[in-house]
Amino acid sequence: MNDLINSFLEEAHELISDLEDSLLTLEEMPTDKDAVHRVFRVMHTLKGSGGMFGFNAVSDFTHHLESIYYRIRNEELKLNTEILTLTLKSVDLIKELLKTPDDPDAATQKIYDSLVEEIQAVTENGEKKAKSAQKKADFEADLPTVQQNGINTYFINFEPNAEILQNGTNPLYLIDELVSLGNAYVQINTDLIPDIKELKLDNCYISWEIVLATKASIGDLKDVFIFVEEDSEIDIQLIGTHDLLRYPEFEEKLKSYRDDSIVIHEIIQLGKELITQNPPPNNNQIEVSAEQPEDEIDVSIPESVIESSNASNTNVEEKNIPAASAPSNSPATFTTIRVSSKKVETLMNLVSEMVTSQARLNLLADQIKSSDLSDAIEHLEKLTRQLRDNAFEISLIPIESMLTRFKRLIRDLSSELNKEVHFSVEGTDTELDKTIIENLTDPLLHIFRNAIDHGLEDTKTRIKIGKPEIGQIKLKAFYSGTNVYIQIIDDGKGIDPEIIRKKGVSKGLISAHDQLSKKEIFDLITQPGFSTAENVTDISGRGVGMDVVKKNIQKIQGELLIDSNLGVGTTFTLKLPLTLSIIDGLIVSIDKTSYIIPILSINKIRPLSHSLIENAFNNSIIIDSEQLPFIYLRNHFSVKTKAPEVEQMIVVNYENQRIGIIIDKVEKQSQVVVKSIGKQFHQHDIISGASIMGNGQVALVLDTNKIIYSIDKAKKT
Amino acid sequence: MNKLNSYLTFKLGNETFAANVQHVLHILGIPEITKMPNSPDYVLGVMNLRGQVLPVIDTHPRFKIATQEITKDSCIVVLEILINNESFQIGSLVDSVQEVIKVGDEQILPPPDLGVEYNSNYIEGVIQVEDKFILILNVPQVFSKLSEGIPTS
Repeated sequence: MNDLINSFLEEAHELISDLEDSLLTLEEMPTDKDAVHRVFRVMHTLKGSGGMFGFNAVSDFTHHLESIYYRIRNEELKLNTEILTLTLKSVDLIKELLKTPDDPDAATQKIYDSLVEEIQAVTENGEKKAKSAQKKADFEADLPTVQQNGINTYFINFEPNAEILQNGTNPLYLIDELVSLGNAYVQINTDLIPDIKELKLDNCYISWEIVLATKASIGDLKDVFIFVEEDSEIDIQLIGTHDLLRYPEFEEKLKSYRDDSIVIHEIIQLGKELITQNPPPNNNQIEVSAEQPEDEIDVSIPESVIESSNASNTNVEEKNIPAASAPSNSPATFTTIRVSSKKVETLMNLVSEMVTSQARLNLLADQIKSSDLSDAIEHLEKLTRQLRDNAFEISLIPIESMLTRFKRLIRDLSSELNKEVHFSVEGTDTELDKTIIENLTDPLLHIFRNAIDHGLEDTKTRIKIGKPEIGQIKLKAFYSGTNVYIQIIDDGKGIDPEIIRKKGVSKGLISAHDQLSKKEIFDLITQPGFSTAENVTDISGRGVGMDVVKKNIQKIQGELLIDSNLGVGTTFTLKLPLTLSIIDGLIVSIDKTSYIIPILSINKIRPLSHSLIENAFNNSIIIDSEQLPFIYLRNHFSVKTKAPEVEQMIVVNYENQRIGIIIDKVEKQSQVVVKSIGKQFHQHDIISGASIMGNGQVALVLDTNKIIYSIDKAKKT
Repeated sequence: MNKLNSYLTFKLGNETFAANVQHVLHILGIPEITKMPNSPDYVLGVMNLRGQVLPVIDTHPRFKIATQEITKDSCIVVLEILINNESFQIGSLVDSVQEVIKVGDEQILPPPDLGVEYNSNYIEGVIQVEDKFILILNVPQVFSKLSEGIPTS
């Protein structure tokens, strides 16, 4: 049972995240009908499964909330910011309620009651409007009467406002949606398309006449147009019971109107005649025919387009065709499946082991020297590599998956701090390893908080200094090499290096005469014990500073860079590895022990004679006319055996510094699977992991950044 | 009927110890062990346990027994230890593995006062077999410090 509850909770949290996502979409685009449906669906599911698993409060509460969206879906209520805010608050309550199946505590109960009250106020308001709408609908119902639960044929005239395209609505989607409801005949009216000289490219000059045979009600059809009804002409009429489009004569008649408007009373008459002459056997058969509407539509629309193309402009034409041929009712195939992350982890582990075994096999093949064996192993190696790459891709998830939380945070903060914020994103399809994403959310949330709280000015100030009223925050993600960069860019007041500098001096992080580059100054922000906010607000400055953010990012092998221009804005850049589990490494050895240095950090490799190292002054050496500090790992690791005559220096990059790491011998370059060395060794931070070599031995992965850092620290103290 | 518990007995130097089999995952011959730089002496390094990286500890110093030379009888006993609801695995070097014995609760004597020689927290009890004593280890206690992390030297 516990398992079931857990899987319910997991599902519930996913649903809620979906829900928030849809709500935020609706906030930007109240016209998104899909989003309304999603909201409704999620609530419905929550209500049902919540009750099933004993979360009665969730179930009851969602029931109230659902009724709002029921009305919105049925067009009895208009979605507005007030409702959205109420819903988001409700979502928070649901999250709270999901913590325990028991009755909520007093504080939660209070929120619960007040929200239910608000919800009821909204729904009652909607009820009144709904009643008046009902009256209007009564007028419209005339002529043939609707056949309940059966197929009826409707005539729909849709003349969108000429400017409909400019507010982002694509009327073709509406037509698609209509067509998906049943069997349809669509005629396009292009009479209004002006001469090409007068044609405005972003105006819509087209109107549609549609005959639709469907089981859907008039209300459902109106739903399709819910967001355009205000500035478009929409006329929906029942023209007959049953599916009139089944009759070839009826369709012939419709086609005869090709160059003209459809004359409604004529086709109503024809419909009646056809039904009396040849009554449809029963609805079932009609359903069968209604299941393949696409073909007919595909044919009918391009025809009318081609016919009218003489007068029309190619631009319009191009827009028409793809939409018309887009399948509206494609059979349900599964393009994605849900797999538990445990299974993916197991797969990754198996693949890692396979890569390891492969290395071992290669080693054997080298020893045995049989060309047949080598061929087979080579082939296997190719497969292993492909398998590894594929399995690896599976564990990648797009950055998009975190967006909902960010959007929510930004929305809440912007209203809390009374700063209007426009949040834009770019490259959110960039993918990262699941573990990296998991460890990234909190640092990013913190950066966003900082950006809104400290970065952006309030609206008044912005107006005063002539900046656009609404603050901009942008999340930008992109690949570069084997790294992923995520940037958070704001157009706020920026960071004043002088203030940071003074603060750094007063906190004792630097001395007053230190010459620091801009970058070094901004780096101070990420030092422990540094917090510049003068006022401690609820949002940030709770003692958890940027040092924690930096630490968390370093934990996933990432780097945090800050750049800022005073008055213009601040950019936080996160440089992240694509994955933590498989890296390109250089295998080196010191006294028979193998170590791995990530290739990425290596700048160059140089042989050095031992005497040169022994005579080096202050652990630095001049190479290519550059003075390089180095670390002699034999000493660092207290290796007592005799050093070889010629050793190797691996020059690694760290931020803007270069440093040499001296080891005995470079073995080879290889792809290695990095494994954790367990938390027993967490104090050994210069070892970031271990990998199992082809011969079954364990090699340790050196964290060059940490090595340099430890030297830096030693120098400063 | 008293409950019977199974113990794996092994030797460190001349002393025989017993560990409850619930902690014992594997008994292995001595594999290649990769030294962990800058570790205390009792850390032998890490080894490959079927694709997993496992720390290997020399338990001799804990009982003030001189580390013996590796012989063909030397073994790594892989233990699983639960401390603070977190389990971890560790390999422990022993000089030889003896047998698995079944012992009833009533046969276990309270730990004798061992003086300063052993930290008595490490010993749960004593079993007398013929004229010899076998010391039952309190396995989580013996390795409890490791759960906090091995210091660098």
